[in-house]
Amino acid sequence: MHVVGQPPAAPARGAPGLAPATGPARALEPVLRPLRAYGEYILAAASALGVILALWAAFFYAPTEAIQGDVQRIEYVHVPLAWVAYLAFFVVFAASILYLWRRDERWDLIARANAEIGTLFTTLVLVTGSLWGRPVWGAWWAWDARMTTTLILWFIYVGYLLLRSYTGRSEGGARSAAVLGIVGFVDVPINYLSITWWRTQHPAPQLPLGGEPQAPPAVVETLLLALLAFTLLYAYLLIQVYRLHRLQTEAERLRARIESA
Amino acid sequence: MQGANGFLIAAYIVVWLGFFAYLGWLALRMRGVRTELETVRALVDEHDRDGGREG
Amino acid sequence: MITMITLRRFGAQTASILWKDLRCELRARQVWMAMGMFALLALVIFNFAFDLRVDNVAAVAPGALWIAFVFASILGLGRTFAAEQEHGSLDRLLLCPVDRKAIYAAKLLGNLVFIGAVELISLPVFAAIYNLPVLTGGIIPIVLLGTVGIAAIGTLFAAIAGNTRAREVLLPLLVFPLIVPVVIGAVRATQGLISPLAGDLPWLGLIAAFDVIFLSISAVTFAYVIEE
Repeated sequence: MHVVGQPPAAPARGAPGLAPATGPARALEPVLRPLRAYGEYILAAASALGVILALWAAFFYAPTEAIQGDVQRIEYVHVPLAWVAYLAFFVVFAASILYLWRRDERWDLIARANAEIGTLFTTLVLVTGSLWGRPVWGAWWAWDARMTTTLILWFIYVGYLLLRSYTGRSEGGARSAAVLGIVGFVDVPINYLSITWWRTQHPAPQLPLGGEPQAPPAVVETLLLALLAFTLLYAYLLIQVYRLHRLQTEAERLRARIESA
Repeated sequence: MQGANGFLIAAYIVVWLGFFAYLGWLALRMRGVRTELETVRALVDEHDRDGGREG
Repeated sequence: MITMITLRRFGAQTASILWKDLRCELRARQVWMAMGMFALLALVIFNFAFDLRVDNVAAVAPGALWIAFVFASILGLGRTFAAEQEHGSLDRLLLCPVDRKAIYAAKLLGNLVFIGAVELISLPVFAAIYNLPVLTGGIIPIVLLGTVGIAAIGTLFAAIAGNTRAREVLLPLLVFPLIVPVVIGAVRATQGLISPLAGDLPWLGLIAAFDVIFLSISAVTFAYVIEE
């Protein structure tokens, strides 16, 4: 795996965001070119539309829950946020492995952008969960297994962002962060399984992976719509944050070049 | 459970406020890095011209 | 045949780095004295903090024991690469044709020796001042497996935090959240030793599983962390 004395492959410095199409993709060029030029606006419009539709469905389409009442509608923002947070942390994990393997700087920037977005969404998951728990369980926080592990997840990725801010944009810092991104992700499956390992107050998932939905169709439809909308929103955010980090790296590199000369 | 609706509204407000606050912060950082990049590029150009004159 | 030779070389490399570290650290006696004192102090402080009585000691004491162990470990773990950083000798070590996994193994074993020594001193004191029957054979695998989990992650992150300006601050921030599953398992297993519960989860197996996961990920990724 690692060979002593072998120089690391040179990272793609200042690489453009998307490589030009080659091979079979060339035939699709007439479709790809406008998509590349306007794709971001299409994505922005789609996520805005999706979010508005999801909001409408959450308040007017989904039925009122019999026991909890309207407050259960928090679910339609709480669950999609959690899903996007898991997705973002999974991308941190995958991009970290790819970075250590391929030494392409773009993977590092992707990992970094996803850690930031995942931390934001985990924060919102914890806040909405708390606001849901207070009226339903009578407590802001229950030290329940699922909540505790989500909080730990939050600590891990805040640690990741702290590490990144301490190491700057060095290659060694990027490798260290990639290792944390891999080790830290071990906590995510534990988090998901934890509700079945310990006694818990947290409800079982209504859309279990590979299982039958455990809720009325209107609830499931609203949830799926919200999941889609938030995933589109995540994709849009990811492009923005990735671009920000790419420009920051470029600026820092240029400045270092002047100052060293 | 009618009193609980405050929590519902609060949750949605917090999420969207947090989200737009993050977008605003992102835009601020983006503007900062674009200014920085312009400054640095001007410096690099100047530096390259000086280097060309000497060489 | 080849694997035997590789294994033997791996062992020799590990042993020589470990031996060098142990001699170095034995001379720096202050560090592990400080670790031991810190663990004892933590045990005493918990006694005041929780106002322990006969009826609540069994519930609180295992947590206090493991928090003391974890805090004392962090003190020692921060020293993992101290000698190399003071003399700048890590670069020289990396220039040698040493397997990176051997460096990790040596550093991990060194940490296990020091943390183990501290635990060996604090356990009888814990049993005495908390008045609990924990000095049985059953405590050995719990402490051993729990310490391996803490040290496996701790050694890896000592290298990561050592690369930064804020090494002392960053190390506990990165390590504590990651070792939570091991600490939970160890606390529950120790509780089970004091007052056995019927139908309790196999906590020892849980710790062992995490040890295997942490050890294998750390051994593979360590090379990337110390690479220059």
